[in-house]
Parts: sequence; structure tokens; C-alpha cells
Amino acid sequence: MLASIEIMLIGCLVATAAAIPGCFLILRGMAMMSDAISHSVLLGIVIMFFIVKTLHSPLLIIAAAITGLITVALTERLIASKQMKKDAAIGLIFPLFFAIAIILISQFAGNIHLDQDAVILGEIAFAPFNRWIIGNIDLGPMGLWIMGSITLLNIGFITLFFKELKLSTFDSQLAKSLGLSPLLLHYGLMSCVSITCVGAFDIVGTILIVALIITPPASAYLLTSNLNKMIWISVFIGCSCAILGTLLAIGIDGSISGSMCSIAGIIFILVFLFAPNHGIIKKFYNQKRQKLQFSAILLTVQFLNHQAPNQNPFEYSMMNLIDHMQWSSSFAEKVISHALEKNYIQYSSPHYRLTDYGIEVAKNAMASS
Amino acid sequence: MTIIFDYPLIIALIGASFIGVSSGIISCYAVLKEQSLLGDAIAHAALPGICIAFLITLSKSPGILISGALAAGFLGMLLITTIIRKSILKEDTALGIILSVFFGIGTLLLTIIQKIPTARQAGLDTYLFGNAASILYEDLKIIVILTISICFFTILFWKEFKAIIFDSDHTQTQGFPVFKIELILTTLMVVAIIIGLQTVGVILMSALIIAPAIAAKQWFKRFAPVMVLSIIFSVTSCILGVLLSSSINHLPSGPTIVIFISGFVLISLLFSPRGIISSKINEYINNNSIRAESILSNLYLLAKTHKDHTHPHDINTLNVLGGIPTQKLLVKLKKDGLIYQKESNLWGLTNNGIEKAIQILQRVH
Repeated sequence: MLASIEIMLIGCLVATAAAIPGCFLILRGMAMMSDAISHSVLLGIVIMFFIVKTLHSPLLIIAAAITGLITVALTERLIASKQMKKDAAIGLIFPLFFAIAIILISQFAGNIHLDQDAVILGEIAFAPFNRWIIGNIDLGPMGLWIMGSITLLNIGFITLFFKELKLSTFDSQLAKSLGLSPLLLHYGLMSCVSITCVGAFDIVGTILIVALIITPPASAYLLTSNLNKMIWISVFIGCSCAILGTLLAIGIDGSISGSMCSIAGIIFILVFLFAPNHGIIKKFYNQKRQKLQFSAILLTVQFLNHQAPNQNPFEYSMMNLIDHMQWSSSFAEKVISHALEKNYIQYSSPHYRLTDYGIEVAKNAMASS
Repeated sequence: MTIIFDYPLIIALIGASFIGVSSGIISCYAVLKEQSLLGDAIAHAALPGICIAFLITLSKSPGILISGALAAGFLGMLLITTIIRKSILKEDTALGIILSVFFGIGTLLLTIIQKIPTARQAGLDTYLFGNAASILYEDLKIIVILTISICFFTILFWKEFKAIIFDSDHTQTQGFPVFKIELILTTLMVVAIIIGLQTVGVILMSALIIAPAIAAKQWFKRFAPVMVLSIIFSVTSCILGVLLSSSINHLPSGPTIVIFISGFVLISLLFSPRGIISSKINEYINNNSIRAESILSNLYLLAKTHKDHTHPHDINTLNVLGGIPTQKLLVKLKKDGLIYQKESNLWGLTNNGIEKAIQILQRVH
């Protein structure tokens, strides 16, 4: 039981560390850069592993973070060369780095801990067994400490440069003219992403960290347009993914990191459907509502225009309406009931007639068009 | 290292060449339509489809697995388009979400499949990194049929595909059913990605969808030659990758193919007529000729105030007119007979040089 709580804790830390830079990546339109970084840090890890022969050295993290930055720099160099578009440049560099890493692992790593499956899936299930012990004191799982420091690092970077990051994200030209170095901020952010990917590498794997970097902030973005709130919400969603994912994995006896991603996906779909402002159900409803409102105003204009001199002014039968407006009868009924509700028209058997308010609405509509 | 051309290797080689053809074709469309990373997302999204198809049928028959992958690939594609169209999220965010979440679900299902006793040998994890040796005769049949249909549709809709890639709005105004054509093209793209998964793997398949066209694009401007070259690059790297990985133990074919195709990209980027090296050389030549022209015209402007237009001037005076020219450049101009040296620092225009300078000034003004 204790182990699963430790797993949840580590998961929460990974999710927090990932969600914070993730928010900025999404807003800057660089979400796929995290995919590229998370793949290519593997090369740094593998190369450094062959040099220091252990997976638990801080040098690994440094080497991997540098590889991540090299990927970013190379990708940007390719984009700047104007030989190809941004997405193609991203898609060229990281597969190469990843391929080299996989070949190195398959050729030289033999039967050690660094195998291909661990790279993909991560080994969060084993994280509680790898403990940090000084003397006789058990300080808890190593992963907890590593991820804890990375989370603190990310929080530190974002709090320190929050204003600058915010400005350069939303108005990079203004930021530049105010003397902020966009390059420095950019690479600072990219370092955060790289380090997070490395730290998470042996916990949730190279690809699944992308889910935690992109999906919770994307969900949060649909829920709020305030950057502060967005970061908090995405951290909250990320932690929920970690906790619910662990529970799901225990329940169905499957990969923990895979379950976390699945939960992240489920949360995203729920938000995508039901978000109060940007959810598609709400949008669909708004669209329907707007169409009805527009049609009701159209109806008042139609009424006003069709007052024949001999006819009782402003009168119209249902049949006439369907005929002239070319609406289906069910839609016409909806529009009429909406117009009645809004007090644009009233029913005086057997015809509908405009109210005074309706006349005003129609005249306004014609004046404004 | 020795290569033994036995039956499995020949099957793998034939399969890899057909995959090379289909990805070479699709690569051109993906890159020119600026949908390079879509291939990455679709490839990742296919994984849960393969797993679910296996979980339902418990059969490893290629037809079933490929249908599962196709279904999941399409679902991923549909979701990406829906997210982009219906929400404020940008394209790359949508790609990232679908890619990582589908892949996560896939890995979750893989761990569940590994626990099914009969499924231990299912070898679904070959789909992660790709293993050309796992191509069997039944797989080959499907690969060949699908590749031939990709070729068939490409030739059939050659004009339409080209039209929507280069100017989709114009195509629409010409009365083409753009949506239907896009749908066919997207279908071909998904199919090409799915048949490559077994050889190249889910993770690296995107390289085979991006790299061939990027490399080929460096050499030609016209679409047809680009596509032919892209197919050649991609088939060559698939064959070389399979050969190398079959001759070295534990060398997965996917990454090996990716290294070869990346090599082609590197060579093309550096050495092609529009490549980095030749553009640097052109830049150097242009810079030099501009500098030489500015020396001539500046010397002429200085000398114009004198009666004798060949009147020499201290070269350091040019400092105020845009910098002192290098000795090398002066020597070159002297060799061309455009300027002469009176003393160590005194240079003047020859008669030829004056003519040239007037030409330059007339051209500029």
C-alpha cells in the first residue's frame, strides 16, 4: 500500500514538473517540440551511460538535457535555413537521434537495465524499490527526490521569469523591444522541458511524458484564459492523472504510465466536450441559439415588409411563413416559439402579428444592416 | 559481417522495397501539404488499434492487425481534425495530445496482452521499433496489394492531388470536390504509414514520411522528378537498412533505415545545387563581386573631381565610403586590368576601370 502511495506521489511530481513548462509550450505553439526533446534526450542518456557506466549519475541528466537543447538548436537552424518548414524540421532531427540511441542500446548495452521497453514504458512500478539510503536511514525513493528537485527547479524558473515569459509568449515583438532576450527565455524554457524529460525518462518513459506535458495544459487552456489559473488547473489535472492512473493500473494490472496517459486522454475528452466556454457541446448549443435568434429577427423583418395595404397589418399565417422563408415546418415552429418567448410576435387566431417591441426590433435590424 | 540471402531475407527485402515505394510517394504529399508531423501522430495512434484487434480476435493474422491499425489511425486523424476545427487549440497541440494519449493507451494494452499466456509470442512489440525479419509471406501479400493500390490512386488522381497541394482554394473554385480528394489522399497517407509500421516501427515511422521528400526536394523543382527521387531515396534506404540489420545481430531494422534516410537528407542538404554549401559559395562570390564593384565606383567618385579620371587615391580614404577593401581583392582587380597601383597605398582606375565604373553607376542609378 505504501508503495502505491509513493508511486502516486512520484507521479504527481512528474505531472507537476511537466505541466508547468507545458502551459508555455502550448501557448507558444511549440507542443511538438516536447515530443522531439523527449525522444532525443535518450541519446544523451545512452552516450553518458557508456561513459559513466551507471544510470544513477547526475551527469546523465546534464548530458541528456544538453542533447535536448542541441535538438532544439539544430531544429531551429534547419528552419532558419529556409530549406524546409517547421514541422518537417522537427520531424527530421529527433527520429535520427532516437534511432542512434536505440541502435547503441541494442548493440552495446547487452542485458543491463537500459533496455528498449524501459525506454518506452518507464518503470514507475519499480521506483519505490530504488531507495536513497544514507547510512542506515531510508530517505525514501530516489525518484521522489530527483523529481522533487526537478519540480522545484521548474517552479523556480517559472516564478522567477513569469512576467518575462508571459510577455514574450503573448507579444514577442514587444518583449524584444523592451530588451528581454527571447532567445535566453526560449532556451531557459527548453532546458526546463529537457530536464523534465530526462528526470521522467526512467519513471514514465520517453513518449508518455509528452502526454503529461501537453494534455493537462491543453485541457486547462480550454477551461480558462487566465495564465495563472491555467497553470494551477493543469497541475491539478496532471496530479489527478497520476493518482487515478495509478489506481486504474492497479485495478486492471497494467502499465502505470500507460494508465496515466489514458486518464489524461479521458480528462481531455471530457473537458473538450463539456468545458463551460470552449466545450463543443456548449459551442453547439450557442450556435443553435444564435441561429434561432437570428431567424427570429429575420421573422420580424419579414412580417414588417409584408404588410399589404388591404391586409390586416403585420399578419402572417404559418403556411405563408414556411413558403416564404423556405424553412422546414419544424424549424419554423421553433423560430415562432422563440419569437413568442422573446415577445417579438403574438398570436391572434388564426394569424401571428408583430408586437410593438417586434416592430422596433425589425426596424433596428434593418437600420444596422 | 555476412549476408545470407535466404528465403526470409528475400521476403523482408521485397516487403521493405514496397514500403519504400509507398512512403516515398506519400512523403511528397505530406511534406508539401505541411502535414509532416501528422504521419508521426497517425503512426503512434495506430498502436492501440493493433492491440485491440489482437485482444478481440487473439489472432496475429496481418489482415486483422492492419485493419485495427487502420481504424485507429483514422480515428486519430478524425480526432485531430475535430480538435483543430472545433477548439482554440493549435495544430501541434492536437497532434501531441492524440499522439501521446493513443500511444499511452497502446502501451497499457500491450502490458495487458503480455499477461495473456497464449499471447506471449504474439510479438506485438515488434511494432514499436520495427523488425523487417518479422515480415511473413502473408504480410508481404498485403503490403504488395496496398502499395500497388497507393500507386494506382496516385496515378489516377495525379492532377487532382497536385492541384490541392499547391493551391487548394483555386482547386475549389475550379469545381473540384476538394473535400473528397483530400479524403482519398488522407486515406492513402494512413495506409502508407500503417504498412510501414511492421518494418520501421511506430516511433520512427514519421522519419520515413518526412525525410525522402525533404531530400528529394533539394534536387528538383518540378513535382514528378521530386517524387521519383523521393521513391528512390526511400527504397534505397529501406533495402540498405534491412540488409545491414539482417547481417548484424540485434540490430533493429527501423532505426537502421532511419539512419540511412537521414544520411540522404544530410547529403542533399549539404551538396545539392540549392544546398547549404553551394548557397554559401554563391553568397561568397556575390559578396566579392559587390565589394569589387563598390571599389571601382568609389574610386571613380573620388577621381571624378580631378581632371584626370585615373588620378590615384590613398586606399584608406575608402574607409569613409564603406570600408577599406582587402589586399586580395585589390590584387585581383589589378590583375583584371581595372585598377593600377602607383605607390604602396595609392591606387587609381585604369581606362578600362573607368568604363566599368561608369557602367556600374549607370546600372545602379
